Amino acid sequence: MSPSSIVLSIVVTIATLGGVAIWDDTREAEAALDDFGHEQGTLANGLAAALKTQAARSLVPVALDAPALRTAFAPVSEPETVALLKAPGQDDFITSTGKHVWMPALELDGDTCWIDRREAWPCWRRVTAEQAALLALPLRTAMAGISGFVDNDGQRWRVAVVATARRERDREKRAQWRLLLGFVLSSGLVLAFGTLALRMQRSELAFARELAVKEAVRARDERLVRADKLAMLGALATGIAHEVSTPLGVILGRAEQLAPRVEGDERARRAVTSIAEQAQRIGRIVQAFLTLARGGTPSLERVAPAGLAKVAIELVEHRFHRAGVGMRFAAQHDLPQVACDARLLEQALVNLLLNACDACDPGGRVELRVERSDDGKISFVVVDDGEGITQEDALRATEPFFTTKPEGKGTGLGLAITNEIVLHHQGKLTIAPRSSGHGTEARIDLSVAEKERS
Amino acid sequence: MRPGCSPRVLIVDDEFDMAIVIAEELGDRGFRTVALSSGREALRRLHQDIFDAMITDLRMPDVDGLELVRVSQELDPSRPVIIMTGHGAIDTAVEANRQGAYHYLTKPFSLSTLVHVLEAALAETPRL
Repeated sequence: MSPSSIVLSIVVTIATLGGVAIWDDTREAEAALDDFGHEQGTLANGLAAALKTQAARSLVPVALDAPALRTAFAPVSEPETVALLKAPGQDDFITSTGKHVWMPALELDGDTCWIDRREAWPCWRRVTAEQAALLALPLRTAMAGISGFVDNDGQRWRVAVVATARRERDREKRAQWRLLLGFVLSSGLVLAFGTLALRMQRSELAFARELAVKEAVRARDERLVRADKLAMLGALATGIAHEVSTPLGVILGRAEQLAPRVEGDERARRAVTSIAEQAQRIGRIVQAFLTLARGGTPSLERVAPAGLAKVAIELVEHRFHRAGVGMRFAAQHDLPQVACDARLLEQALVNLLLNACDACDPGGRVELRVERSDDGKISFVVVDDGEGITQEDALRATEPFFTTKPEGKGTGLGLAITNEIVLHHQGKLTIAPRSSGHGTEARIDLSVAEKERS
Repeated sequence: MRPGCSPRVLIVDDEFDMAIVIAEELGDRGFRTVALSSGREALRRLHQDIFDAMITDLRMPDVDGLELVRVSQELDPSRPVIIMTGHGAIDTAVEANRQGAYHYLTKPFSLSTLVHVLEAALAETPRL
């Protein structure tokens, strides 16, 4: 939720609360006034009945006037209430205090509100503040209950009871205060929660921003570290290349010199040839790494993946034999060729196989599969049943100088180099815990060579 | 190669084994050789002796191959110099070529290649 929508919600909620409060108050006030009017009407009915009795009791016609009215009205000693009586044929009302007042507001249609009729419901009218003042009542809206009776002579007497709606007003005022209090409280609550939400959101935003900044810094640091390590890798490769090449030159030269001297001894000849070949091989690998470290592109040739895997296996077979680790090789038939630098890719596979071998205890098993994956790539999959790898370590496995091998056993460069080799082939290296059982699965996915693609 | 006319070759590599291997090989093939493991010593011998060709390593601790190429060119511009270099110093080897070295070989190389290059170099450069 955005800050502006929170503010909008607060405003709308408070406005709705206010609207409902005002509407409810108006309705309540009207209802209270009506109740009050009903009360006055009932009073007027009672007064009319009393006066009618009084009029009926006097055998001689007697003028009902202020004293009579006062007597009849005495049981009702409400404060700020005035009783009125209008004799037949008169224009003015006479009040219980003896005043004569002309009050057209209290006139009703001739046939309504007589207690002699069964349907004499309480009748009431609103009396304006000015008219109330005429009755010596406070200058306030008052309610008049209106009634009347017919005496023995058939004369019609109007009776009214006018009262200031003070109690109602007070009650209403208190209700208004309550309402106001309720409104203020609920608005306050809404405001408080709204502000809290806003503040929380703001701090959340600040937190998120801080996180983003931290993440950016971390990513930059990681890039720097990686660049550092790559630079180091480059320097290391160059150094190694230089140091190794001269001894290799000597080995190669000596083997070459030996060759003509062992003519006739087939075994010695093979040994000398092997020495020369392997020295040259080391030279080529060193050269390739150097090219890599300098960011050069490998020279790509079209190679059968299964054959390449076999060469890699031959290179590490003696290590497996020594470690007592079994090796299984499986390749799908008719695999298309891949475009790669065979020497480099061999080295990448050798690294994966040696890692797998190192991870296994004697009696362990390593499997190298060459297969076509679902998306048409060629996959070299090396699976071992060794100690396995954690997800966390798997993600870091290709970082230069990251190793889980004991001190002095691993350089932390094997997988980094493998990864670089695979990346140079636009391939993908995945190291992951084995999906079933313990152990690790390392996988190189490579694209099929262009012309082979069907 | 006619005896008596066999060319004198100076071989310099701070890895003395390397110099020896080459010297022995060339000796077998009728060259006269001087094998040295120090650039400084080589510098001295260049001034004193007469050599028909020089084979030198590029990176050496005291006087490096580039310096030897420069001095050799000064003393005898027609004398072919063959540079040997380890991987990782190809750019320097190219620089040596520019300064007048005849060819460079990246270690490890086969001795027959070296002999081939050396013979070609001597054939191409007319000696007085």
